[in-house]
Amino acid sequence: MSEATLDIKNISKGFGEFWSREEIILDFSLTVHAGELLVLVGPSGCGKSTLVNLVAGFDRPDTGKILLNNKEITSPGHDRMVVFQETALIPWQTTVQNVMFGPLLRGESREKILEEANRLLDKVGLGEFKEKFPIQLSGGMQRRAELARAMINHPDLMIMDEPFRGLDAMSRELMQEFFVRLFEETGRTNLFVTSEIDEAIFLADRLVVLSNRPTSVRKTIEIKLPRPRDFLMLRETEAYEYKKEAMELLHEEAIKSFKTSGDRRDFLTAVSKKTG
Amino acid sequence: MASGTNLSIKKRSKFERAISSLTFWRGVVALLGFLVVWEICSRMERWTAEYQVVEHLIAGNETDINKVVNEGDVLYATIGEYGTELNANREMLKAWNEKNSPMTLKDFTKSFVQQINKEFKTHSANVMERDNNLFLIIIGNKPEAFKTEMTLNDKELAGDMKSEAFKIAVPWIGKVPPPTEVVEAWTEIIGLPGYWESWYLSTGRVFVGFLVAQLIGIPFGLALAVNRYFRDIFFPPFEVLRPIPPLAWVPASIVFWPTTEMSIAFVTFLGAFFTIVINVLGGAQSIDVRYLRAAQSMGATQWHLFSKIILPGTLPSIFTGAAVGMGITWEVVLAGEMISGGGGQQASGGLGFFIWSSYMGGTVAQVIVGMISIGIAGYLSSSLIRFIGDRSMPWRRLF
Repeated sequence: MSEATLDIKNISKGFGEFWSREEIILDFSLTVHAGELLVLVGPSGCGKSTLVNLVAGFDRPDTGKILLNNKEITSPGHDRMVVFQETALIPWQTTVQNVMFGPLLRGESREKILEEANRLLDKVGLGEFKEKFPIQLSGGMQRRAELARAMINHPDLMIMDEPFRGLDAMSRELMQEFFVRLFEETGRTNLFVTSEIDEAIFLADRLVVLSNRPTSVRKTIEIKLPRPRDFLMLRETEAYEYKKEAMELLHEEAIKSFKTSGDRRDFLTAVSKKTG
Repeated sequence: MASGTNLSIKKRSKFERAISSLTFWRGVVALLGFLVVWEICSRMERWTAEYQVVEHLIAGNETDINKVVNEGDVLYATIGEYGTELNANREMLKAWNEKNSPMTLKDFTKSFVQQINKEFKTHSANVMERDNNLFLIIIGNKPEAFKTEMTLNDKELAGDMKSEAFKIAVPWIGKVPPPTEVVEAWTEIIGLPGYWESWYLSTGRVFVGFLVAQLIGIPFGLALAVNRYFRDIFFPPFEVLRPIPPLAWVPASIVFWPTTEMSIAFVTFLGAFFTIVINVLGGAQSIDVRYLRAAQSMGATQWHLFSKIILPGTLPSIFTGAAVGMGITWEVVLAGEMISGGGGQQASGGLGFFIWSSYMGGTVAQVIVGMISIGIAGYLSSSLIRFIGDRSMPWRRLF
């Protein structure tokens, strides 16, 4: 199940009509190896979510191909599961109904699915909350339920689009730890998108820093921290070096994104003059 | 998160919860206070007036005023509990005609006034001519002291309560009958089958129009939301028809439909239909795209997307539309009944016609009875919708 490789080959994607067209992604290539946790970091608005939509199949690239196990992605499918930025649990279904939703849609047998759903929910620590509606769960619980909902589909590839955004610092850290354990256990190919460096270094096998629009790979950093990971590792010199490198690249790209948007430049120069 | 586990600690009935909550009692006190203030304000004028003047119109033009009195003409008046009458018999006419020209109605009234002033110690009477009208004026102490009625040859003469010398009158509310009078009017008609038939008829019309509007409006709104071609074709004409107020349809629908009953139902239907469609459309369009995408990536077909995501996701808007639509339906059905005169006869008029005919008959207390009846009917129907809504959307009644 962890043999899946994702190949993104020279894709481009733009929005708008031809007179006001803006290329979000231009000639972008990337490979996620089997069983790898690849983290994408990039300045805000650099096209990460567009990329996620393309890989998930919600949208088609203008040119180029995206291959999963050498098969081209043309539509959404349950071989790729997306965990969205904010919760996408369906509000009118209970936790267990949400988890069972996908397999039941595909007509799998109810008893088998229920058993597996219960097992998964126990695993993510939501055994007691099966019959609750999403609105009754805390932010962290919702993310865990969503992880369970994704895992029950046995996807070849998990796509995480800033999944822990909006959580408070404490539950965010807990979720990161939980997620890294889960990954180390299953070894499922993972494409993880985030805008937070610490999270990226803590989770990643490889860290890809994206450039400002149009998106391209600015730099790939191998994170050679040992697994299983824990938060203490982030205090080591090695981790600090990674962070410094990534921060510098990101800062450069972020400044660019400010400069490309016209009048913001004046604001930035004014601020930098003032602060010396 | 504690609220998840604490939800079912203790179950109390709705009534128990209501009477033990401060909010409930605040509401009761406010309602009672409102009624007391209303009662006081509308009775203020009668309590404080020192005396009262009632004008009875005897004749409305010069010919009538100077008409010669025939033998057998009778003027009759009740003042308070006592009545008195003056009969134009032969002796009286003879006595008069010996001294003067033939007795006119004016002279006859003057003699009656003298008789009243002789017989009643607490009241006095007078004759007044104004703009070719001949009035008999009765002046008395506080209004509770007397009611007056007058007839000329058994034909009733309209009485108009005029000014009082001193009074404290509350503007606006002073004109409204007090709650006690409303209750009195209510107890008079609550036993009549006609009143309950009005309820039955109006409720029937409301529900027929409302249900048809739901049956057509919900699928129509959903189709507008999910199908682009359907929306392109049907949305523009819908938007042109929508701003036309339902009441503007009344004359046209009376022409279109064979029976009055059908035209009222049609206008009622229109009142709810547009609101329902707009709510369903808005609700279906505002469903978060993430739910659709999540379902899509788990292998949902178009039918799954519709039945598992769009339909339940639109339910809250469907019930909002139903609640608003129900209110409009009541508004429209009453106006429709007023305009078309119900089914023609009073018995088939419904609550709207009940109000209208009460107003025409000059019984303001009954008008208020009708208004409150509609308030109650509207409250009951929207409670019903809320109840059904709560049952069908369990995820919405958790907090």
